[in-house]
Amino acid sequence: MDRVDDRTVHILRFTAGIYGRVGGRIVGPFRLPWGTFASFLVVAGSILLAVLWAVLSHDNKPDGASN
Amino acid sequence: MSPTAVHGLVLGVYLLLLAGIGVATSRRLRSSEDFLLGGRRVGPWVTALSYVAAYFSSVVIIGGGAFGYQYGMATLWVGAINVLVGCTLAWIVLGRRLRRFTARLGTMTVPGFLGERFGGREVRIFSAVVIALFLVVYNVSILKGMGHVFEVLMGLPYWVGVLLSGAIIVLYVSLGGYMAVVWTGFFQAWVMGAGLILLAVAALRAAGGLSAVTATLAATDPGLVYTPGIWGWAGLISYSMIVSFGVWGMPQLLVRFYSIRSVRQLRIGAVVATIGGSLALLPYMIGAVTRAMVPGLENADLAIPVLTKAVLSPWGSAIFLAGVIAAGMSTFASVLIITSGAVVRDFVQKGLGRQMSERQSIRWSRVVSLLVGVISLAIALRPPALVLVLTAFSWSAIASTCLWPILFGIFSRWATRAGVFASMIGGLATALVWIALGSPFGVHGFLPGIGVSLVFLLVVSLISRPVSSLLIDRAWGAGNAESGSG
Repeated sequence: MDRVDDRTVHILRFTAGIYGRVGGRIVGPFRLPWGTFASFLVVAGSILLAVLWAVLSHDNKPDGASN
Repeated sequence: MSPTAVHGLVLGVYLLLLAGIGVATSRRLRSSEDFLLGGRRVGPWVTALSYVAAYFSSVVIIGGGAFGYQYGMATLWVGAINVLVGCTLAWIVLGRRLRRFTARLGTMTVPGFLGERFGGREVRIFSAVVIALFLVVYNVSILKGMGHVFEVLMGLPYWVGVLLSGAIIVLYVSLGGYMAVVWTGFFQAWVMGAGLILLAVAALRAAGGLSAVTATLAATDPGLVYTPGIWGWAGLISYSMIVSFGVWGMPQLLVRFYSIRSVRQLRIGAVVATIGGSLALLPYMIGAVTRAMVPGLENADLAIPVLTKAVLSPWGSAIFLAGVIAAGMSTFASVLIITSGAVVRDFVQKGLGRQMSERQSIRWSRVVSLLVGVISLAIALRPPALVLVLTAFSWSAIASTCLWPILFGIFSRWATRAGVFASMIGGLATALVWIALGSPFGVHGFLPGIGVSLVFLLVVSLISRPVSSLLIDRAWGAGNAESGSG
């Protein structure tokens, strides 16, 4: 089965600190098929994108202003 | 207390709360803009969470679970693309421009925007008819889904479930209009979220974690854990596209951008909608967990109800039931208000030229909401077999008709009135014919629908008369940005 390699798993566990803190039994180790793992990353990336857009976009024009 | 009594108690309280919100919001209605858009003064939290609630219906929850059960972990991609394309990118790409354009043109509906933007009555009437017709079909499928949920989880007859949930929605929509829709949607999004998270956590605990589920599924069939797995790329991509990119043309969701208080509020809304939309992963994941725990179900649609009974207490399953009902009710309510706007505002007032005072317009909108709701209920009580087929193309029919005209309407000054009209007819006809042919090559009718729609728009716009500069200036806000009366 195509999996995220162990080194990546180790780095992610270490940096994110997720495993073992928010309920390792539920979240589980990152030993997931790459597709499942990547789908979670897409969701996390979407949240990050929305936050970055909210913070960085400048919108000082009034609602009726031209584009 | 018996499980049935617990379910009855939780649902009774929940339905009473919804009716209360409808009554409370009905007192604020003074104009048709209040009825159809909440006076364009809805805050970002309510807008964003009601968007999520309208996006994901009970059909998606039960059907998503069925897909997860049938095809395994690859279906999580559908949820992930829902979040990225259907929530985050929709808010970032469409939100700001739609809010500005519709405010400048003074339009309250999607057909209204298209009619004013391209200066064509036929564009407005055609899109209004398509939206009204196919959203009624969608309504029927939502009611049907809720009837089955009541049937399976509470043991109530199908017709009781349809009437109970449908009647409450029709009541609060016709009383409170859009404000009732978004406030109940906001409340329902929390109930949906609570129900889905509760079931997901309980299911994963019972299964021993996601890695254990993966291992079990891999032992059963490796195709249940790979991407695209046993579903295949054609099915996975086309289904993800219709339920993600397709929402860019769905009026019951786009109207949230019209009604938000200001452009600045969209920034908070985008974050809230994305986080709320992340719930989309859960039905698919729960379906896959069910496949690992309860293999051999004959009907995949039963995956989530079966798991609910297996892993949740009566109180937990009552909350989950309320969540599923909330998902259906919020979508039905959103669809009902849009159908009412399309019929009264776009077809009767603007299409047939019937003059109405604000008070008459509200009264007619209420009557039409009631009528459309009752018609949907009547069909849903004895749904024809064809409804299942029609449901499959109600989304693709509307999206194939509206998607490109909306995108070109807010991003391009070049598309013409004739090009947009040709695009609508070509997109709709292609989607319907493709699905009637049985979706060749496993590709959903939405994809050829939007493909043909785009080609027609480009080609006919090249050879037809451009939209007048006055209309362009009004839409883009150059010079004197007077409001219209759409």
